[in-house]
Amino acid sequence: MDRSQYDLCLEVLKRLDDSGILPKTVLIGSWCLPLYKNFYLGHHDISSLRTRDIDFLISRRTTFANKVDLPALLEDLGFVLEHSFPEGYVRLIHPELILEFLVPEAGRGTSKPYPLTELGVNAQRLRFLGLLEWDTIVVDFGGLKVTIPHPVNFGLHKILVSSRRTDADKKAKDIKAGVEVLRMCAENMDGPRIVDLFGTISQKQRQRIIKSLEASGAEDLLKMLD
Amino acid sequence: MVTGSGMAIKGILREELDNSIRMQKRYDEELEKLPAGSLVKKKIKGHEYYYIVLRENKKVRFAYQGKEVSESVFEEYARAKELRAKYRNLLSQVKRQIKFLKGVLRGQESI
Repeated sequence: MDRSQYDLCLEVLKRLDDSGILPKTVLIGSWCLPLYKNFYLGHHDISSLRTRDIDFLISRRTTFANKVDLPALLEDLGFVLEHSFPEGYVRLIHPELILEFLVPEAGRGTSKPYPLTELGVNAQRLRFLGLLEWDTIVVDFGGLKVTIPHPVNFGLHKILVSSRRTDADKKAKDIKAGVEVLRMCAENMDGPRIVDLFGTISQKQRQRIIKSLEASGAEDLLKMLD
Repeated sequence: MVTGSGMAIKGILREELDNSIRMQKRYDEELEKLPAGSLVKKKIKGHEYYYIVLRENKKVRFAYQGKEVSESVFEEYARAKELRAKYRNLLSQVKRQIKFLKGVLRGQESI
């Protein structure tokens, strides 16, 4: 990890923690990958390929006690607000990091962003994020307690979302990350956990995962889930 | 043939290039929004006067503001000065990223 990027990330997390926001979020996305290496301890063949995006999952049930103007909180670090077009959700951008807020999509879904009025931003609604909320772990990140999805949930989620990707590059990136994380889980005695979680998701989702694993040639994982 | 890893890396680089191009546009917009010029105090024949110093058509222009300016004007220009320096610095970083990423995607630079 680039030092200046790490320092900036830590400063952002510290400010979120001081404002009471961090404990109410789950850090998701590729920033979890290096943290999983520490979680299982030891050497693991897992790449740290990632974009600058740092995604925070916020549960739809979450309420924030205090109002925090997030864009103002991070302005002196050089973050500026960017509105996505035509979706309308916002991101806080910086050459080293891009902050995004996500909430699980529910029901039939809507194209409108989810308002987070207490934080002065809004969030993007995405399918399948519930899977990342079901089981979380708390890890240390530069002395801060950060909540991230359990690696089993992370891995299966990556494989699941890859099936919906239309962009071939993003699909390849998701499958690669998902397969690597699931293999790391299996190597660390979490194979039964993968099978258990796989058994709890819908038939349609199971089919999607199997199809993606078949396409990627991950025979070892397919055998485990058979 | 591009392997899964190769595709993933190319995909990330393309995504990052798009991000940087959008970022450049946003920093340009933020710089535009800041009040132009800097607030300066001049002492003329023992009296103090405030001016906004602007650069117009390669010439420096002093716009007279009066003998006193409010605290909020001071703060506005101090904040603008700080943000302008920060945004310019970040903008040049973004431009370097764009140049590098375009080069890598054309196969001219090593990753």
